[in-house]
Amino acid sequence: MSASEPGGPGVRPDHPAAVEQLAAENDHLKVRVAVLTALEQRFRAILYGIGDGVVVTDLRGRVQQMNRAAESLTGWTEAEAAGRLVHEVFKIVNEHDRREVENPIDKVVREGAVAGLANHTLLIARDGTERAIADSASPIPGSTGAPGGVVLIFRDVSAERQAAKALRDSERILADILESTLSGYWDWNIPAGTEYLSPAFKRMFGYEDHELPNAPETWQKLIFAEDLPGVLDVFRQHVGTHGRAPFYNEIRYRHRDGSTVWVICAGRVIEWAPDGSAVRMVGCHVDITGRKRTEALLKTALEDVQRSNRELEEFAYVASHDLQEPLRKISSFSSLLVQECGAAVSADAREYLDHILAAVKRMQALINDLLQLSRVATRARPFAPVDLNETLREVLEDLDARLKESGGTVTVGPLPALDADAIQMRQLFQNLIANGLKFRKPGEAPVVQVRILEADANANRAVLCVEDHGIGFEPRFEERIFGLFQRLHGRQEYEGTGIGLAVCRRIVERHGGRITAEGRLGDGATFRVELPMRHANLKEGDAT
Amino acid sequence: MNRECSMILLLMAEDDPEDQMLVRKAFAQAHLANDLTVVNDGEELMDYLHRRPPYEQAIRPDLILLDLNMPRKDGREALREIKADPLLRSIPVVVLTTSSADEDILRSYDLGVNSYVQKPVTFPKLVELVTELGKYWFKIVKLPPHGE
Repeated sequence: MSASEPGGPGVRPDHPAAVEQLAAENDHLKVRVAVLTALEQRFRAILYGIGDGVVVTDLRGRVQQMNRAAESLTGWTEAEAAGRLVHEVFKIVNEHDRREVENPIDKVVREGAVAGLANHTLLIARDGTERAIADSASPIPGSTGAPGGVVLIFRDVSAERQAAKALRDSERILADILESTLSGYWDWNIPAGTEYLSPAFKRMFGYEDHELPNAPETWQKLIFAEDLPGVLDVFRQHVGTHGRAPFYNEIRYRHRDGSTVWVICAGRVIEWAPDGSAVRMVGCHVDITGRKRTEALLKTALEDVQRSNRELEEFAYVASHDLQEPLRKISSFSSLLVQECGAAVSADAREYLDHILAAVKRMQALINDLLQLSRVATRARPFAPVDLNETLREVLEDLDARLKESGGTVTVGPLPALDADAIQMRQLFQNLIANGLKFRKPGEAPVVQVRILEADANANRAVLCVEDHGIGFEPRFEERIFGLFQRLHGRQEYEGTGIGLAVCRRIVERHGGRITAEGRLGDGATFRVELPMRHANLKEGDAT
Repeated sequence: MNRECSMILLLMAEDDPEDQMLVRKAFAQAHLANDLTVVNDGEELMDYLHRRPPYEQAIRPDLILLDLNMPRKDGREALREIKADPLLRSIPVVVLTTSSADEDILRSYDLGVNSYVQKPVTFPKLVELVTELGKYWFKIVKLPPHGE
């Protein structure tokens, strides 16, 4: 029974039975229409409520219906789109070559089967907005069973695509990082006893990916036996503290070629069982063999330097002693010669002998100075708290004769206490003050000032200065005066070997400080001494 | 110059012939005409003190001048032996050396040396030193009597 039956052939409308029948059929139809209307409403509710875009066309590809999602994705309203060709409303191109893609509706019409859309399809909306979409089209069966239309369903996949791309990117970045840092990666499923070991992990030890099984036993066999307990200990602490104690090891592995590979193995548990045990742990292997080799080389080099320094100090000390011996003989026999044969030799010869004696005396002074310099290291005492005020009092006592002889004065401001070698501090200030007294202007009583410029416990620095108003020196000699046996004046003008300031510099450097000089020709000199106030490595008991 | 002084026997252990000569000269210039006997190292010194050949006729010295750095047996060893020997330890020993090392000074006094003197660097200073030594040991100090 179909809607076209009423009023069919052989029924006469004026016949009362026919009228009755017609009325009955009419009622029936009304019910059918109501049912159909309800069905359509339901269909429309479903259609318009679907989150994906839905477009219904007839077989010629003309839009009949489209839901709200389709409206918002295409930019067309259903009313505007109705009757238009679907190509106009649903414009799709390949995202790479931007060529038009075959509309799935055409395919459905042609093949009569469900058509999926090719990947990388962009939908171009009415306002030009482009969106990556996924879609499919299906035939709608008509009353005869042949297709009566096509339904096109599509959705915006740009967010998904973006997320997938981000994931791919980060995976590629991670792989690049691991590869470019030559790092190995491991991923351990602890209860299952399986462990993924990346190709770079295995390559680090000279193996191809397929040559080693992905299992914890693999690394446990390659690691140095004596390093394994330490790693397991660190692992237990990491798990025991629920990840608070870092899992970090510097360990050795045996390379396939027998060599040692130093590795940083660091990682962390990323999945815990409810009972607090570790389920999954991931980490990295970084090859630090080069660094370890360099460290070992540096250590050896440092030891070599320290040994050769020690030997040099010993040499200087021994040489100074042994060099004195022949000098003592030259000096003594020259004296005897003068005493015993003085009358027999000429005045010239006596003068030569005097020169020999003077030269010997100078040489002895030089050797003594050299000895003093080497003693800065060989006679070094551990650092202990030193009150510089006390040091300066002692220095002034020692210099008393020179002060009286020169008529000089030394003014000393309040000074700090610091960690130092007390004897060397005394030597330092004695040399600096004696220097200031010595290079006084002729006929003028020298004045030397010792004062503090800065004492900063936080910066661990004390800066002191020793200033005089003597003859000074040209600024270009500021560095040279600290050199060994460097003198700016003839021996006849100012005596001395030129060792005093070299000793000062050595002492200050041994204390981790700095000493500089500022000279003003004809207007004195200022020595600036910078010293650390505290030394962290004071041995216990040194402070007493 | 002093008759009593000339009775006193000095024994010097010194390996360096030049130093031996200089000390002799200095003694002469200091007018100390003592009998100065010289041995060349620690072994000879001990042989002398124990009257071993060729020193069977050796006379016990009143004072020993001892160098520290000598071949075969150095002054430190000889000093230890002398001061450990009940028959020899009453002989005063004066170390005369170039060393000014603290450990040498400390060790020498530890072993029982009577004086530690550094060799002066000039001859006049050596004469001065010998004069002072002579004054002290031969005039001021009472030495242990002979024939113990």
